[in-house]
Amino acid sequence: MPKAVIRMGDETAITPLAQKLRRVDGPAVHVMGLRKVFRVSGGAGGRHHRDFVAVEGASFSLEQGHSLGIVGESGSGKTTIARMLVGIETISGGTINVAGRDRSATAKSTSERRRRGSEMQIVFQDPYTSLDPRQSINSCINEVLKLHLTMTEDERRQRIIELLDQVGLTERQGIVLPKNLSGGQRQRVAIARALAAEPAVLVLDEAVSALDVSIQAQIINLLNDIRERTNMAYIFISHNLAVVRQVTDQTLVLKKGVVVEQGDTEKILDTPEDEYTKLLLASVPEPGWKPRRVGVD
Amino acid sequence: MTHLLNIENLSVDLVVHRRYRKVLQDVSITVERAEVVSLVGESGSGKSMTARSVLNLLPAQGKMSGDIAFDGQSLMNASDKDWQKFRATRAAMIFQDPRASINPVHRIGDFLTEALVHNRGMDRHEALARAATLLEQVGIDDAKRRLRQYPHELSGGMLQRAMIASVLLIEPELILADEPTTALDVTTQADVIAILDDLRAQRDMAMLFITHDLELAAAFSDRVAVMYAGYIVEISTPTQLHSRPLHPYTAALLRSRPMLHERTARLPQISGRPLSAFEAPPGCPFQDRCPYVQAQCGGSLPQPQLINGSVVRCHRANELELVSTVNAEGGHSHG
Amino acid sequence: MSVLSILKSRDDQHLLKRIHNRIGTGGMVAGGFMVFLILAATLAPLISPFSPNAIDLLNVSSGSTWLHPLGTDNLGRDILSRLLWGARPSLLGPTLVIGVATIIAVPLAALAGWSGGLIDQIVSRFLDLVFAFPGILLAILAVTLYGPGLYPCSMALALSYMPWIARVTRSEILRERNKPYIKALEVQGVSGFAICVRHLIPNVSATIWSQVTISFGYALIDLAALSFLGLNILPPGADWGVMTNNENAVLQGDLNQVLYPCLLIILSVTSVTYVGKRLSDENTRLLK
Repeated sequence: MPKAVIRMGDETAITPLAQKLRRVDGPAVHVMGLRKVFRVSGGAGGRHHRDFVAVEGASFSLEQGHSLGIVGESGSGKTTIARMLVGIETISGGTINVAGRDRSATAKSTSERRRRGSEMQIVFQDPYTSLDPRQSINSCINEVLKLHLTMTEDERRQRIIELLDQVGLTERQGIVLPKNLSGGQRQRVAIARALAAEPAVLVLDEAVSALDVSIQAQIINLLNDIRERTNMAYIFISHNLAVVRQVTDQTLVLKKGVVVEQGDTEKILDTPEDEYTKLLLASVPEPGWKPRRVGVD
Repeated sequence: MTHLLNIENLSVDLVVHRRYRKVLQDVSITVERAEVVSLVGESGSGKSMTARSVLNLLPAQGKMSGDIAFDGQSLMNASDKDWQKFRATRAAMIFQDPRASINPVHRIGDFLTEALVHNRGMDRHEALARAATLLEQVGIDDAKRRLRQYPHELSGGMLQRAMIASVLLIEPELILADEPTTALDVTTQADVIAILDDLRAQRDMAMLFITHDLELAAAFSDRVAVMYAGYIVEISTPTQLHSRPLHPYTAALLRSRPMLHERTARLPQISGRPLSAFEAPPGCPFQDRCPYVQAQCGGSLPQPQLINGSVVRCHRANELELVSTVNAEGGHSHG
Repeated sequence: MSVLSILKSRDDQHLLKRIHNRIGTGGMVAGGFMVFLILAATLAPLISPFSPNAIDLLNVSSGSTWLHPLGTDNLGRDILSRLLWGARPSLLGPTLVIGVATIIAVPLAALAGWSGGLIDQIVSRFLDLVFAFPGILLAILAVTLYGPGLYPCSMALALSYMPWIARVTRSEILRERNKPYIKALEVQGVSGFAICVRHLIPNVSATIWSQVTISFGYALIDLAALSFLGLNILPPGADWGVMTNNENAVLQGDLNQVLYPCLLIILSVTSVTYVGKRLSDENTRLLK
């Protein structure tokens, strides 16, 4: 399998990675009627079981190189959708299609899981628990490379340096353990690890929410750069509307598992149609904003 | 007229990785009666530590120097008993994570009335009645039923409101709020902040509000103090902050924030990462990340200066014309 | 943190300095003491002044003398020699117990914790079953089948200790399993086996180490008790447990021969437990 050498600023070169991604026919992600139901035991003595619908009928399509935001508050189902997409959660209904292949059913074999891993990767929210604390950065990325790509040890070593460079880390930072890195740096490692698999789609589950504001800006810029250079598709889960504006082209707004609004990010944020979307927008602190009681809980 | 809270030259050392290290340096700030002052900063800024120092809630081996005076009286040499009394009657804290700060095996009613019954000797029924009233005021319906519930039966937003209620019940003169809404949804945050501000204003309570969100602080504070690496680098009013920030860090922080109504090609980012006090180089702590750095910045620590009613620690404060938005056409003087 | 990782770490620091960082001065002393005991036990044939069974009825119950620095017991046998030779079964026994117990327990726990569902249920019920048998009972059974001795007793105890280690390890694995970095590996498509071996088990090793070292202490005492019951090492064999059970000596007021082995048992158990505790504390602290 060709290794992708992506140099900073070398926009004109068509890298093998970009070639691989462009070969995907049709949308990178296509989801229809996605549904997730949890059985919750409740009531006296735990004898009664309720069905809790976490996600009800979400449908969307994401083209290669585009970015989709999924917005909502806690309990909206946005994280559940992310987990279903990458296979950490089973699907109760609907279909998921990634890079032209259906993944609605749970992966039956390790090789199928690996294949799906090479199509879609995830970056989690908390940089402090998303890396193995005992594994050096180099080892962590090396493991992913060995899993998905055929390379010699030297080629892998070279690739690790390239990946670290791509996310703004130095070779020296590859040798250390996660505890020696800051939150922002660890998140860069998580991104590098995801990129190592050369996926067609990257799912970012509140990937910048736990970072300091100044670091957030760095990572947002980094993500935008990477998407531009590799033509990867992003699914960006967030509760922060301003960040979503900066990172996505299209957005889905979720309230309690239901999609209440969907479309171009700009249009939704400038001229929202749904009451809930308007409420979300009205709650964001901005210059000139004054807090007022909204009476929700 | 004495300040309600007067922190002067407060420095705090804590044990980090087996050694004493500075986490707060020479912090001076006042809070007047019924005033809202926000401390804004990123990781390592020392904002949370400042609030905890006021209530003497530092980790066991913390060392404080400087002075903290409440209503004219210094707290530095107060006995444990005095501190307890202070925390029980005159100042109180709202914590970030209500689930970590409220005992899960006690009912909400017990939690709310504990301080009143034990410290003020109030009758339990009267305390519960007051608690119920306050719960309703903070937006929790069916208060009587809620009083009998346990924390795990309430959502995060409701629990935080309950914590606010518990603080208001004590009727302190000063509320310290340590990131009280960071763990909440944005709609809940808006509601909770509005309630907190309303009730506080009704009762003429002062508030020291800790947050990482500069816009949130600017929305309802009388004054905002920006902290970096254990120092206060700027104290200003919200209007001044937006029209003319004085410190390069403040300006950069405001500009690096993504905007709700506009997308830029690239967010103006600050290189490097926020430092803690003990990681800062000699001289100005922000020098390694500052776009306006000069030789003098590494030489000596900038002292607080008063400019147009704002306080700023920057050698170049008088020359720089900083702006807070990306597209403003304001000129920068590059020295 | 495993001892192996200390050795493999790419720190430039000297090995001893690294160990010192992990377990502190107290840990070094305790660990050093154990190393000393193990060395003494290994070299017993070379350094023991007398044969442990050499009866000398002319020198019964002598106190400390030049010839017998720790004195002799009620049969005139040199106490020092008996302690040295006795160190072998006394230290080997518990090591066998915890070694075998861990080798069975950890993979079982990983299997149960990782797979969940039916497999977890089956393994847990199996562990419950083994829990039901007291170690002493299993030892009696083993001795009935194979005769008294160190190996039947050690294996029997190993089986009875196994569920303890398995249960604690399983809880830790369940807790760790849901952490994002494990999920990330799952999403990558790494096999369950590889995740357990390369990531899960190393990350719960602190707990395993602390359970193992605590169990060492218990095993040592249990084996001594088994010697007392006549199941483990029988007189005239030299073993610290056997030596402490000499009721004749106690009745005659000759305490030396009981005191020294007793002291060694206490010191060994304390040392191992202390090092285990330091290892697991440091581990938790360092990986933040």
